[in-house]
Amino acid sequence: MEFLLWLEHSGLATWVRESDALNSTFPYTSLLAVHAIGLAMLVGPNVVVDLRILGYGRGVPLASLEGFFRLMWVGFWLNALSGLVLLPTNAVTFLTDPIFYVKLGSIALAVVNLQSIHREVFRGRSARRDTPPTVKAKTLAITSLALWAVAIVSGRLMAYNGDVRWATLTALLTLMLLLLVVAVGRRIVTRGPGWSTSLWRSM
Amino acid sequence: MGPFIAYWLRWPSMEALMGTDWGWSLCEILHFAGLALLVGIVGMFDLRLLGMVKAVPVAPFRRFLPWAVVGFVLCVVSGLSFVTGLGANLEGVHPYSVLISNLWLQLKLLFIALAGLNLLAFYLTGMSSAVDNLGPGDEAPFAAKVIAATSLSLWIGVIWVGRLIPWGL
Repeated sequence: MEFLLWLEHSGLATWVRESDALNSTFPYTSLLAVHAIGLAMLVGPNVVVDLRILGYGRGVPLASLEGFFRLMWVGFWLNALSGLVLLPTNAVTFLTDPIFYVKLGSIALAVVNLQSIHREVFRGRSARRDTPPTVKAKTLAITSLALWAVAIVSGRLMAYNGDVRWATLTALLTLMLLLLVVAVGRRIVTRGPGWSTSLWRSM
Repeated sequence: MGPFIAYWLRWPSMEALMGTDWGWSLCEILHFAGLALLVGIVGMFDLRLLGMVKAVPVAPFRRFLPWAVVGFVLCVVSGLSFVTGLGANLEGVHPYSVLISNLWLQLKLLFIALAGLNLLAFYLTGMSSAVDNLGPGDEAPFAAKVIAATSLSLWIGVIWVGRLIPWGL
């Protein structure tokens, strides 16, 4: 704790947090902005790769998407570095908060997951032309989507107290459940109740 | 004009929703998830036109753009909730006074409007159908690259000034 307090009161942390250059509490808000841009650079393309593996946009050869991995790594490092500079500004709050470790853990897993996708889809059997993605690749795509969702949700909830966190999670899960019910309902209406058997066979 | 806008900003007031324990934070989560989808996918399309990942054929890649639209809708719904529900977060603040005083919000809306005009130009100049012919390895026409670079800069600008809005209140 003493170390965290020292970190929080260090010159760099104080400057990052409290300097008010350019009339916009620069550099603090600029780092937040970079952090949001890095998020889009990393998670957006990763979602596209996941969706392609899961069968959307089949006209795009999976192998051609490999070039976007550079973009994702730039996004990752932008956020690792901006996050590293932002961390000391609230070192005590963040490093004693369980949800901060949920965020870091889910990001670590998502990045390992991304590397597994790279190995499986761009180096492994799925990389061959016209080979549909393996079950393993599809599983990795789904865990990838879930892990990034956890990372974004926990990242946002870091700004709130316990009551708000639970209320938000409840609301979010309710919203997702509603969307699921609507989606399943639409499938039943448009495809008839046989959709479940056809889904089962397709797996 | 002022009172007219002020009336409509308060009419479908989101204050009841945004005043709950979960309203504001839920909208933030949706806003960030939407941002990643919208700017991530539009950015990929722009970078392809600029020549970064030329292996990607353009016409099939458009199948991913509806997911960017999903992101846009998420951002618009949550963003409108922030603006019209601001009174719940900051006691007694009228959305209209924020609209006319917050430089970052104004810049963000301006950038979004310019991105919309840029998209319109993409269709009206015929570049939209021209780039559909681009297969793997093909170079986009110069005009398409200008439009793509404009789009990329504007969306990055939207995120940048958007992140500053709370500090302009």
